Amino acid sequence: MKVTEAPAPVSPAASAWREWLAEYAPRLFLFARNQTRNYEDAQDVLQDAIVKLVEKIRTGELIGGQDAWQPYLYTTIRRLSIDLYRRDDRRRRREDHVSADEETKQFEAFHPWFDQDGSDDETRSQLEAALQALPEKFSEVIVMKVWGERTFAEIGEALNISQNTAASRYRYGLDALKKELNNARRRGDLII
Amino acid sequence: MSEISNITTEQLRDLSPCVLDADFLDRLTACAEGCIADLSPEQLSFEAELLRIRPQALPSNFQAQLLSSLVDTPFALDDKILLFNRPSSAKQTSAKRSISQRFPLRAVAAVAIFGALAAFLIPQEGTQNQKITSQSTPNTPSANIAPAGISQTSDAGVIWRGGNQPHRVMRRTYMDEVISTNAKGEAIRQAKPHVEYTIIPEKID
Repeated sequence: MKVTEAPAPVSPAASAWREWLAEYAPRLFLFARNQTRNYEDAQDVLQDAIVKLVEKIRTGELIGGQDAWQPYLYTTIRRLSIDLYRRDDRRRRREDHVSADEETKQFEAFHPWFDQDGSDDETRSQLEAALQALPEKFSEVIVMKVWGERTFAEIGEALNISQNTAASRYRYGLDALKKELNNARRRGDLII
Repeated sequence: MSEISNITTEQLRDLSPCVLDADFLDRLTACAEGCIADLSPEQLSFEAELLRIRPQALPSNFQAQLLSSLVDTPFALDDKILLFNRPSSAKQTSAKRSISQRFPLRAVAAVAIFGALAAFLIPQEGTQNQKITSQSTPNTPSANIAPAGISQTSDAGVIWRGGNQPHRVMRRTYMDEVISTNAKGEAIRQAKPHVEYTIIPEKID
């Protein structure tokens, strides 16, 4: 009796995960950056969220298949970001340090939030600045709705607010963002 | 402080709550009308402009890092269909494989041996009548085995070898012809089955 093992084909799941990451990870990373306001923290938070997702999938705790992944990840990213800020007071000390803050700004400038396609550098940087200037309760809803393509119900679930509150924050946030970008346009900083 | 403590109920009644600002009033009206999620044409236009700008792609090394976290995790196409990954090479070559991981392969081997012995010992109609010329036991160790083709192929089911990778077991029965000589120098031909199992990484729905 002989047992032979045929060569394994290319894993269908690996390529499926790769495609899924290419499609959704940039949106999740944008949300993580919006939440943490720090490039490296955002990477840590997104990776931890993915690891938690894997655990949930393996233990079968996540009901709803693939449709449940993104809502879970947005909720987890937000929770991890809050946890990070609660326990990490080094950030506050670092932000008090002017030179370190400048370093952070320069680093962030090399890692923009938005892709070069579809907009010029000025537009991207102004949009990024305007989003960062918005109160977080508005910007997080805008990021989840516009780029995360989440419903108000999902946003409400992730942020622990009602969907009506999510919808009204979105409206307020859009208006405030538009106002900020219009101001930039009037100043001549932005060409839209 | 003394003025507040001396205020009368009538004076309190004369005070009026502030009028709501226009934005908040609009918001409450929209809630009451059930159209809080509806955007104005200007807001829709601005939303469309924002949608044209896409989030920055992940750095390739970070994406690879995330992918490595996911590589052994089944990918759910929907509620019922899962795509499985093959185990990583590190796991495949690991010397410290658990008993549960090794057990399925051993089980297959045991079944194969029993199957081969049973097929050899139990008389089979047709095949033996045609191919075995003598029932006497050959007493010589020198026997020629002529391999024959596959006589039967069957699906023996799916086994799990750990790492969330299922494998399909294919059972192939070969009928060899064993030619030997007895003490009298007579050639004895025997049909002898042997079984091989092939395990193939399986995509499971």
